[in-house]
Amino acid sequence: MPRLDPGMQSGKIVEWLKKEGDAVKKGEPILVVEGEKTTFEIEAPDSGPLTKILAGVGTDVQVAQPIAVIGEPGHATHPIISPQKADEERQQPSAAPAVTSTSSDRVIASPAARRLALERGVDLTSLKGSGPGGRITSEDILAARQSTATAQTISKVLQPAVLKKTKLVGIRKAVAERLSFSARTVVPVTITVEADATKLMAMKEKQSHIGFTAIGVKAAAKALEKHNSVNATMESDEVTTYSDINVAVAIHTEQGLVAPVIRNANKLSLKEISTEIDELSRKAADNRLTIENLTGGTFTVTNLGAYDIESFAPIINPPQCAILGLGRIAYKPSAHGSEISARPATLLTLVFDHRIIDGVPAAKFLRDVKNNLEDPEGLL
Amino acid sequence: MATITQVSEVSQNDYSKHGLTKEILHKILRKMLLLRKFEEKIEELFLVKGLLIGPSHLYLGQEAIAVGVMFALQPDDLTITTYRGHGHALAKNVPTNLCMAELFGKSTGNCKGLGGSMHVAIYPKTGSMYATAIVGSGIPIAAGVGLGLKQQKSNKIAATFFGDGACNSGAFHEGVNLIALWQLPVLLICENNKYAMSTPVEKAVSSPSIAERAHSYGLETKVVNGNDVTSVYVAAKEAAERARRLSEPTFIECRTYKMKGHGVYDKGDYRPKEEVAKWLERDPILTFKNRMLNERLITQNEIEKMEASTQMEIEDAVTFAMQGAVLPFQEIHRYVYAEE
Amino acid sequence: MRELTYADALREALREEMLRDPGVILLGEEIGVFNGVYKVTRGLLDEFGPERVRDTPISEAAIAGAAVGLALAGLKPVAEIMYMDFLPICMDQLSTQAAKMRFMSGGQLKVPFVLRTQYSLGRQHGSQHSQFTPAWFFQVPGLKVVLPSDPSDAKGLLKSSIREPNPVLFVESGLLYRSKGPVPEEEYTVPLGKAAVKKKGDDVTIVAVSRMVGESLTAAKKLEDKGVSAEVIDVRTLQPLDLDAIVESVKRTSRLIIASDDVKRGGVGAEISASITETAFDYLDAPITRVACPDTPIPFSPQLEQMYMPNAESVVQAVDTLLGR
Repeated sequence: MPRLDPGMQSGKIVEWLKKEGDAVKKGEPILVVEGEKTTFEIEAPDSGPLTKILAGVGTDVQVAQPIAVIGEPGHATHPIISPQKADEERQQPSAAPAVTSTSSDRVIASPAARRLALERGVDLTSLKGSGPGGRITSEDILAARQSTATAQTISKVLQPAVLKKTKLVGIRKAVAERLSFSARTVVPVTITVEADATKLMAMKEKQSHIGFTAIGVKAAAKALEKHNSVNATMESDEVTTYSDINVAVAIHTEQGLVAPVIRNANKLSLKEISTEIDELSRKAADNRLTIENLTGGTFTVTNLGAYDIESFAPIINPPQCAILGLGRIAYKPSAHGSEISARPATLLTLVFDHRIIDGVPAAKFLRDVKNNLEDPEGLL
Repeated sequence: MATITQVSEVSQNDYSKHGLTKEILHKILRKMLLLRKFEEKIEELFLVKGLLIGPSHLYLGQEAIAVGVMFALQPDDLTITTYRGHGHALAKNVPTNLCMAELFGKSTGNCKGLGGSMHVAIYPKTGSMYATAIVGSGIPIAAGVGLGLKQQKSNKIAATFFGDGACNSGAFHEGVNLIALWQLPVLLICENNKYAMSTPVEKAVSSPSIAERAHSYGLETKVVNGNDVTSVYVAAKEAAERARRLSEPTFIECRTYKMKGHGVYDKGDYRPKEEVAKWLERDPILTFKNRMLNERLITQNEIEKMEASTQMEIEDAVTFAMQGAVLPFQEIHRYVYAEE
Repeated sequence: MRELTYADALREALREEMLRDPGVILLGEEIGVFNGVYKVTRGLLDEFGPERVRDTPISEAAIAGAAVGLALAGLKPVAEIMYMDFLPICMDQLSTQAAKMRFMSGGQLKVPFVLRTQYSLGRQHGSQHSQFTPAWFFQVPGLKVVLPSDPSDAKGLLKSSIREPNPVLFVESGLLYRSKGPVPEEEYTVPLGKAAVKKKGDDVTIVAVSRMVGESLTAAKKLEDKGVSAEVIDVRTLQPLDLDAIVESVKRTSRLIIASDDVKRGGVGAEISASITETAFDYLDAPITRVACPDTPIPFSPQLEQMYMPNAESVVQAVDTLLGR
């Protein structure tokens, strides 16, 4: 069973195009295999009689396990026969027989090949051996470095050239795990509203040091004062609402996404919030955020507007129950009555966990956020 | 025409004729005492003190042969002997210290502790060329030594010592045949102590006697009382001169007896008690001492002085041996091949 | 360069060393009046006289023992044992006495002599006059074992052996006595303990002993035609063995075959194989293979003997198997 794409662990035999005993020619398609994403036709790696079919239609076979034999037993050396299979049938030299392993895990490779493979970082399991009985020899290792196609792939699908391989570690890994968890447990509902940004833009011109994210945080915090059902977390099947309103702000760093918390955001002035966001951003960039910075959030605000994003449905930051996504502020067509004009506007998206909050309370909350944003002077 | 002769006792009147001065007779006695005390000490170190280990074959009772022959030879004559070689080593002037250290397996022994008891008689410096542990194998080697000396027209001769047991080996036959055939200057000294381990001569040798067997090879053969040092001396001296002058070999069967068993642990119980007792009365050192005393060639005082000084020599040798170190193990590789 | 037979090359060596050193004495059966069963000693009795070229009775133990004794007496004997099959008769003198004398004496004794012998495998001499048993002797610490494969090496190695201060077993190949080869005119010796690469190659190393050297060179030519480049190494001496030369070659070719005329079990190939596995394991692409005789006594019948002996074809087949053809 060849590995047809990088993530493939096993393939399912969909159809044998040839039957046992048929003569097959090298390159001729002989079976159809379904991988994880697509279905492939597999070609014969050699010419000869299809002596034996080892896996029938419908069976799932792990990559590198044998599925058929072409040719006389003892002469098979190709990847359709796994190079890891022990080969008791190979011709013995006149000396005592070489070590034959009956474990299917053992790669038959000569001592010289093993040494070279180690020195050059070549994966023995990816090679087919050209020596007697399929033994991988030093020539095979030396040839492996020079060839551009790997020996395992025999279908028309080629691996793309690899730029870099990075393992998921640290923050990235943690974020990935948290998001996976969220995706699995939360029941998200998305609602969107357009806010008129005329007054917002005017205020920003006067107070240019205050960022939109800060305004969004304050707008949300003020609204949460009146809608404390949205200022909640859920753990197992217990919902907790809070008197503190701690708004987390999503900040992008080199190491990954972090969401440090602005405590009691409702009690801080816009200027204070803006300063704190700057401070937290700096800390995040320097990797100096503390546990205190990162815990205790009851609601999250995330802003991709700076990147021209109209709107988006962010993933709720568990165990919180809602998250507000801010899109870009831009001139958009707007209708007043039947008249179209261009007005600055921004799309606000609220994703909430329907297990905790219902649609109407969520909508009411979002409407209040919109109202707060449309009258930003009231937030200062 | 080769003959077998029975060597008769040497009368006191003939001592000077054979070069047996009083001085030499004293030296002979002292040497015999040295051999005796050495072997007694070895026995003690094995059986009483447990300080020595391995096979050891004592020369007790046969001292007259080694001493008699070595005194008859010239100092630079070459000898080849066997594993019962402590007596031959000392008689051929291998230093007592070195012999003792070799038995202790120390690097200060003459063979660096690599040979041991069975090869202690290897000391080419004084002509004690070789000692073999394989019965009979020394005889072909002696043939080669004799041939080499003859080839080089040397004034030296060879003498080889072996027991009654060796006379039945293939090597004996091949070696004796070659020595007789090529008339090599070799003394073949057979120390017939009547037993090869526990096998008596009558149960091993098909010929009527060992002397007759030797004679049948065309060798000039002598039979001598191996417990009488002057007889042995005279027999060997005559043979040595003939070898040196005419390159004629001689086979000398010395009839003797072991005071103890085959090896140091062997009690020799297979020998009849009366036989042992009879031979102990003919102890070569006792009889020689008494004769010399009777012939007024030595005093009791002189004898006691000799006994004391030889004993001291032995004790000093033991001290020397015990102080020596064992060869460092990796060094053994240096002694396999000669570089030059 | 002039060509001599293997036998004549050996004679030249003996003669030159006897002229160079008056201590060199020859002894053996039929070496004098009969001029030697294989004519190696032809004319030497006439030239050097009966004291230096001595015919002996049939007494292998005495011949070998006398050689030991002559060495102790300061001479340089070159004794001949007519057939390798007779060596067990004088094994005591060779292995138990001579080989050990230097060691047992703590370095006091030196035993320089050469014991020449030959093996007649291939001449229909039967089980008792054909054996090739160098393994019995190269296992003995204290002996040296020399095996020339051609006339030029025969002369050079014999000269070195005669000048060597240790006991040397010099094994000649009976089948090669009449073979011819170039032999330099000027004075030369071939040192003991240095193998010779007689053909350079990249794909497989063939280490060959005595007669199998020639067979391996023939095999190498056949292999060239098949596109396989074989390197042929003549050990020349089994003790001392030039293991470094073999290791250096195996590191380049990664495959090793050992070809010799002895029986496979416990033969010289077994020792070389073990040594190379220990020292060059990580350079091997294939198991080390031995080409040798079957584990039976040698059959008389000429056809059977031919099938019994390894030859160039056996070596070619072994290489093919090694390469998986």
